[in-house]
Amino acid sequence: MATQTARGQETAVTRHSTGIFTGRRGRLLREHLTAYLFLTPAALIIFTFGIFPIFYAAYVSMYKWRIRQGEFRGLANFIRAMGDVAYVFFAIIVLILLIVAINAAIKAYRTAREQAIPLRFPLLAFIPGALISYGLAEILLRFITFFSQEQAIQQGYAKILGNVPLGITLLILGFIVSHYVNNIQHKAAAKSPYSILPSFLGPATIIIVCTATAFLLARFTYQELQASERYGLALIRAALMAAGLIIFALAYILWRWAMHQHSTLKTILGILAAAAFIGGGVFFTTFWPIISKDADVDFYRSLQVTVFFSLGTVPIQLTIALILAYLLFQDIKGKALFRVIFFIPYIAPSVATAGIFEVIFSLREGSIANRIIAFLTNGATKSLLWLKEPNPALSVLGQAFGIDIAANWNAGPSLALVVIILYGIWVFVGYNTVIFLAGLGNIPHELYEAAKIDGAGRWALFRHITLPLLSPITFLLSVLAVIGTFKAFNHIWILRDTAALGTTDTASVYFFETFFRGARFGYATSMAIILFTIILAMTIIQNRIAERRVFYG
Amino acid sequence: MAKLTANQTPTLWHRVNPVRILVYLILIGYSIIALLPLYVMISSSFMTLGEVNSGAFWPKSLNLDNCILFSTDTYLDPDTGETVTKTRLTIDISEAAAEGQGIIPTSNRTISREEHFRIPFPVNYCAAWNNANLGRYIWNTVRIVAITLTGLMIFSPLAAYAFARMEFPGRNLLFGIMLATLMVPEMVQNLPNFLIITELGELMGTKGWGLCNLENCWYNNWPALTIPFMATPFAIFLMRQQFATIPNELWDAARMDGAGHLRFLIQVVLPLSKPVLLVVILFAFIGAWNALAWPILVTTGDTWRPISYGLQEFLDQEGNFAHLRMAGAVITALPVLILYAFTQRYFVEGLSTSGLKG
Repeated sequence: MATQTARGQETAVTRHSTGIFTGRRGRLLREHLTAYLFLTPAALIIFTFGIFPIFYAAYVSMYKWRIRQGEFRGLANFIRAMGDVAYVFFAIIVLILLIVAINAAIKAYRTAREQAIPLRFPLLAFIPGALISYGLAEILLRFITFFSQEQAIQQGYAKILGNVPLGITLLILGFIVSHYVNNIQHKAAAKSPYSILPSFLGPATIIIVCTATAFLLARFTYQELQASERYGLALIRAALMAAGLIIFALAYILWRWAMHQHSTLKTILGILAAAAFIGGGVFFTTFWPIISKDADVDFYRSLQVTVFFSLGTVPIQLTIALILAYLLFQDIKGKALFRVIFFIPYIAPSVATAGIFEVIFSLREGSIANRIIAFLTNGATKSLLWLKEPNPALSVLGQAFGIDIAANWNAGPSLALVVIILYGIWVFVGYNTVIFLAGLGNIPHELYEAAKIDGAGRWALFRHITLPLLSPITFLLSVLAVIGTFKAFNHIWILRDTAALGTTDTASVYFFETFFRGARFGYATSMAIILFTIILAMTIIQNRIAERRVFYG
Repeated sequence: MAKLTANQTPTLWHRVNPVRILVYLILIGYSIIALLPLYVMISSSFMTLGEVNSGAFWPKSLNLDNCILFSTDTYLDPDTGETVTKTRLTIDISEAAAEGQGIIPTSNRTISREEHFRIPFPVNYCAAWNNANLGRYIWNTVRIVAITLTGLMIFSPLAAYAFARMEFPGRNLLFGIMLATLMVPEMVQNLPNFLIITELGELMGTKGWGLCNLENCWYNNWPALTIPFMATPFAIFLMRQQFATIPNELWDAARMDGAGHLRFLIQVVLPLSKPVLLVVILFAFIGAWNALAWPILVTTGDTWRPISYGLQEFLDQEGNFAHLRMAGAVITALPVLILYAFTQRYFVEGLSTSGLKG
């Protein structure tokens, strides 16, 4: 259907060829319209089911919403999930938004300086920028309320109803103004042939949107804080937690400073200071569980489980994959066959393979896992519960081998979670191996030859050529793997067991449970947004670290 | 390998390098780890309940039963309530084979039955196929994949082409936004999408947009399961990378001959991009086959429930009968594994070349 309309448009366009579509500018306009037409169906789908849901989630999360939309609650859902930590969380988001805005401003300023454009031109871009972002906001709000039960909105927050005609008018106005401003600039800066405004319209819009959102969020947070019954206490707690985070940040800065010093003494001193700061940060953050006592315990546990799951799978799976890829890359017979075999766990349907793990790690005496344990301990231990075992793996295995390790939460992942970690490793090693193998193939052979002539051994070759040149891929894979563990759902949903008392429920599984079984839509989406923000922050931090560590050949 | 001089005879030590043996040992060892669970799945799927529970390593026999029945039946059609006479394949497990295996012998709901012949088959598979209603779910998944791919193959190449080969204001911004959505966890999208779907269904159902005459257009129906996957950032990204490599001279030549963008896309670009299209199709297929969270949210009952959800229900329901569960798992995994066996080159190479550049 879409192709037909596209073709129809084109013929319509040719028929018009005496009008606005003639000449160079006309052809350009025609090309632009065709491109937009090509994009429309895909853009509609991706917007409706990929981008709009994020805004809609933000909206839903501010309501009591159990199957039917209920009363407006502001940020209460977030505070219920995180406790007073929520205030710090919002402060960080405000901070990030402001940093993004400032970054955009600095970049725009630099481009203006480099191209010797007078500053009043970028500043002029704020007029259409403001019009466009306000128009977009009106349309988006209308879009959101379109999907909501309007009665509830009128009871709660009538202001949120967006005005579409106003929004569209503002958008058109914005584009007209930008065209006009562009023309003025073209005349003023006759030398530069390219259009100036588009390069500043984007940053201007980003700055306006980010600052406005930050301002709104800050105001909401302030209102919540004032409405809180324990206003003073909440403030003190939030400050304490923020202090912990700031100390961690300082430790990180110190560490970087220390790594850049040339004198050993300074480096050592820097490292020691960083260690002290980390200690301080840990001291402050140990208050978190106490402070967040009136928060949702299950939510925090799901985050902890997610972290255990990430830490358990990602490093091990990448190491095994790297070793296998390196071995396969040697002149090996049957390389293709090995690659095909390693890839099978990744390609096999996850529900089926998770079902297999359920059988292998069943609590029966005859299950394969129990027989392996019996073989290792010479039959001295009774069979383990595996997927039904909520106690930490360390203490359970310690018991199996006759060592006593206290069973509390800090002892690490539960045995049930360890099985899920094993499953994750088993599935993803093959995928990572294949990508590592492709990366190894991209390393120029001459480098190895040159190093061999210089007398480098096998290990030196691996350490000084393979590893550094592979680092972009390692980085990419680690980002993908960490995000993957935060997204993981299918196999955990299959392998989780009520007997494991929620020790296997990662964040996404817990949200799903709250949403699907608990039908607490508003609350579940607010937690999903928290997770999303954490992932975003981690990606940014990983990118920052990679800028220094990763060698892009 | 150590170098040999001309007059030395090669000894065993020269021919087999110990490092090499170690390398092979590690690779073979990991292959065993990778394949062992699959072996467990296949071997337990043939076992009896007793063998599974005692932890046998392989089944004593295949436990064949004459359970596939070709017959002419007269029966009451549960949907229409009419009496139908039909020659068909059914599953009919004998009492002897079902006894003590956790298998319910199929109840004979026919009015009259004229048996033609029976085919022997492992009884676990017959039972799993029958109890889990896997045939229905596989058919549902095939339908879902067919509809999704039709949309995907129309919408995504158009968008990818626009991103790769056309100039328009906001191209980089839109492409960046699209790539950024790859970072968003599905769960963040799934939860609001469920609300959007129900609301869309209500709007279309009650206000009658003329697009759909059904009671609910979206929830528990094909649009909810297919339309969101008809244009995925991943597919568009892969195609864009491929389309951008096509030399500009081809476009110039096509334009000389009077071809527009659409004709160029259909007649030149797409035929040149077959491997990437195949990769996109394969991954869409795998995605639909594996989909679990989204179908749990938007389907109830059997009309549109896809295979992964069906298998999950079956695994839950047959908690104590590992031999049946594994038979169900084999049936579910087999189509994907067969597909992989034929197209593994595209899987592996498509993933390792296109997944990296970007």
